[in-house]
Amino acid sequence: MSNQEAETIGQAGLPQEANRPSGSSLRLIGRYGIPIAMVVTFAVFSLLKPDAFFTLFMMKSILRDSAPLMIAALGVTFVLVMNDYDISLGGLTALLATCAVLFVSTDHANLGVVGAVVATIALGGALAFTSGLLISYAGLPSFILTIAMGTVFTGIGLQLTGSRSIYGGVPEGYAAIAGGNLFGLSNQVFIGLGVLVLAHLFLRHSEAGRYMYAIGGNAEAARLSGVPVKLLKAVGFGMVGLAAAITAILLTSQANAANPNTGLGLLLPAYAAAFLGSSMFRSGSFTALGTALAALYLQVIGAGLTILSLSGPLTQIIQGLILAAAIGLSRFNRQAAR
Amino acid sequence: MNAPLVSARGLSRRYPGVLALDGADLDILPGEIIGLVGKNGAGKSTMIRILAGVEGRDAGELSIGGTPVGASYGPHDAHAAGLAFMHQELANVPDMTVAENVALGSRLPRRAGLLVDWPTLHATVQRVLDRLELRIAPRDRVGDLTVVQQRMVMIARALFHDARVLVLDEPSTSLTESEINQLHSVIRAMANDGRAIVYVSHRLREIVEITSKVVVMQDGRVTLTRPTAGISERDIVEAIAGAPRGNTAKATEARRIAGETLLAVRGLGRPGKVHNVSFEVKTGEILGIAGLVGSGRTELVRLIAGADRASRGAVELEGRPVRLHSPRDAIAAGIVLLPEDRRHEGLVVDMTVRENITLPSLRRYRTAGLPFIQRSSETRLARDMVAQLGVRTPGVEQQVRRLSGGNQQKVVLAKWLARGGRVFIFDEPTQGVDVHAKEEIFRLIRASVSEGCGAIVISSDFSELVSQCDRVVVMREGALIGSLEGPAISEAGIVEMAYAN
Repeated sequence: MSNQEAETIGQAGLPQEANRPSGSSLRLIGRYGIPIAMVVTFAVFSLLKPDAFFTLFMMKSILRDSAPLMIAALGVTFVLVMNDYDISLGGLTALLATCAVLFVSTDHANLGVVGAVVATIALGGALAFTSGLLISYAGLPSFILTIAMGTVFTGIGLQLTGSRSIYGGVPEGYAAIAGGNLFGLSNQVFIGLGVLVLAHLFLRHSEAGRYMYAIGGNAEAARLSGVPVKLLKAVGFGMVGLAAAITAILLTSQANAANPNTGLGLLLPAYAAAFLGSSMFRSGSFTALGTALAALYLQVIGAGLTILSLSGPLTQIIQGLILAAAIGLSRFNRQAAR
Repeated sequence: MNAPLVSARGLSRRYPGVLALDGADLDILPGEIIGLVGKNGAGKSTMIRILAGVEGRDAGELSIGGTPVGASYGPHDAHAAGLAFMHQELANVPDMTVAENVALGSRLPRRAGLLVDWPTLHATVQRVLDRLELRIAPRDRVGDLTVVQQRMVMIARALFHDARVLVLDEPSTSLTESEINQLHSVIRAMANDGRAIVYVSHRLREIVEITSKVVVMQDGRVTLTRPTAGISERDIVEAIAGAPRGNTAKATEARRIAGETLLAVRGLGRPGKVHNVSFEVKTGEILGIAGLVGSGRTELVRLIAGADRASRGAVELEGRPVRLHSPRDAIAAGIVLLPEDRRHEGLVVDMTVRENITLPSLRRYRTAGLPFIQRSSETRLARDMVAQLGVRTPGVEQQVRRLSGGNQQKVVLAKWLARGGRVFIFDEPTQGVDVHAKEEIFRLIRASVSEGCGAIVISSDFSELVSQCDRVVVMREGALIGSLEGPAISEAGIVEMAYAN
């Protein structure tokens, strides 16, 4: 297509885009870059290790192993939608993992499987909601406060366990939460899918979800429109707590134990997933589906690197770079949308 | 000696929908103190912004020190040409010393061409402070000074730069009588020095007291230039109000006969902002609130709409007291505010037209009674409102950011008309909106007060209040100082009250 032709079309339909002819090709990359990168990554790993990577077993385990990260990332999506950050995610997950095992273990609280699950989720929601109340009603900056709370949570976890792993007395039923299968797929896949559906319904289709996006867009305009801004902000943090609790349960159920570092490493990949997910959309907004898809992608990379025996430090380097790139891409998309 | 320092001829500047400057002339001579007055929107700020180089001109000539300046004239050029500007908001750096603030933006004396020569700087600044007879030291921290001293520091900065022309925008705001006297003696000293001062103020008594020449602006033109000697405050008020423009005054019979009392505001106050304001709005009535910018109009309506908390007083709707702890309370009671700053307070500009319109009324589109939005009925309502108000947008899924000012304002209207209410408060509803849209907006305001509702309209365009409101109250310095009814509603009447001492 000649330049002239492009201009004519631009003038007829989209005058704003005609002003930035060079930007439109960049914008295409911005918009479809992530899906393309996913396909390419997948193809590369499949070609390098066809018999190890491109197998049904591998696909199933990628789906399974992506669940904890996806759930944690969905949790932070709620606060990101409102332009807040919850850095306590790692410490909170670690504390909740410890508590979950303490709750369920016959050597400790012995609350039973259901009791322990309910108690862990309630505790997670309550702790994070409390941080949320401090942030929204006392007006403390979320970034710094959640760094502080995360450190507190990590410390409490270490204190409770004397810095040791705790295991023993974990009932079989608890291990079956993450270890069990349904229709040939791990339970974790279905739990992850369930959380995704709930998060999507909440953010995309509920009144509270719409209000959260309005708060993220313009908190003062939302307040003047009658939106209960402070309450919803606190609820958003509460969601991080619920997600951290479910993540903690899956991780400890799978390991049959908790160690003080369980889940600490989730903070960065969770944000990487959320930002990467947001960069898939033209408006740059955070969505449950985008976050989930990006979490899956990060798991593909992780699994691929493991198969190539390149895991460990390289995974960290790549996840960090992905987060940095995703923020850049997300910002670029947002500006291009203006 | 008496060649003008600044000479402007036929300056014009057009903004979308308004001609802010329409061929304005201004000469600034050495030793003059010019009082620049006019209504809000008369063109004073635009004139100053062009002189300061922060705004370009569409037409007209500007010369400084006899040299014509080109289109590329910017803030840097203004500074280099010896023009200094002092705005209402203090532009000092509070954590720095007086000397550092005074020298801000100029080259500091150096030692060995590298390090700042502090002793020399302090001595130079001390000389400037002495000339202004200021009892502050170069090492004092500016944040510790009083408001008047901080303003003096800005004047000292102009002197340090050896500015020839100093433009002071409302320099006496929040100063006491004796502080104003102090300010004025400094200004006189500078004028005796051969510098020129442009003194922008709504306080006519000060204009008469200190200036040597009065320049009145109206509708983007300079309508009066006269030596201050022999001019009275009353003459200035008349010049500001200007000749009544044809057809703006509303026929008396068209003003509505008031109905029952709908909203009663009793002794509402907030320290430093609003003082003991009481008034009523009747059903079917459009009440105008007039006043100068900063007279407390916006602050008052924010209290009524629950956006800020009142420290005293009460608001009653149909005789029942309304709890106003948040906008949510006010909206539930039926009091809705359409704020002045629509991009920051009225709209979520990155959301769509649909999402903005339904934001306050989202509960109405529930699915089977559950708090989930039924998209089809939401979209239908948004489309209806867009059609009803004639919002020009490609569709309801358009981002509000991409709409023009007038259409954005219509989205704000759509949002609140869809929500419904008893009392609609419009803060500057026609600001930044073209003439055609203005008429439409007032048609919609008129429609909103039918069926037992009422409206409050704030506008800096007094002619608009005269032509559209049933009653007008006037505010000055946070207090409600008078009310105009029936034939008494005229621009001259409003101006007289708003400027009265």
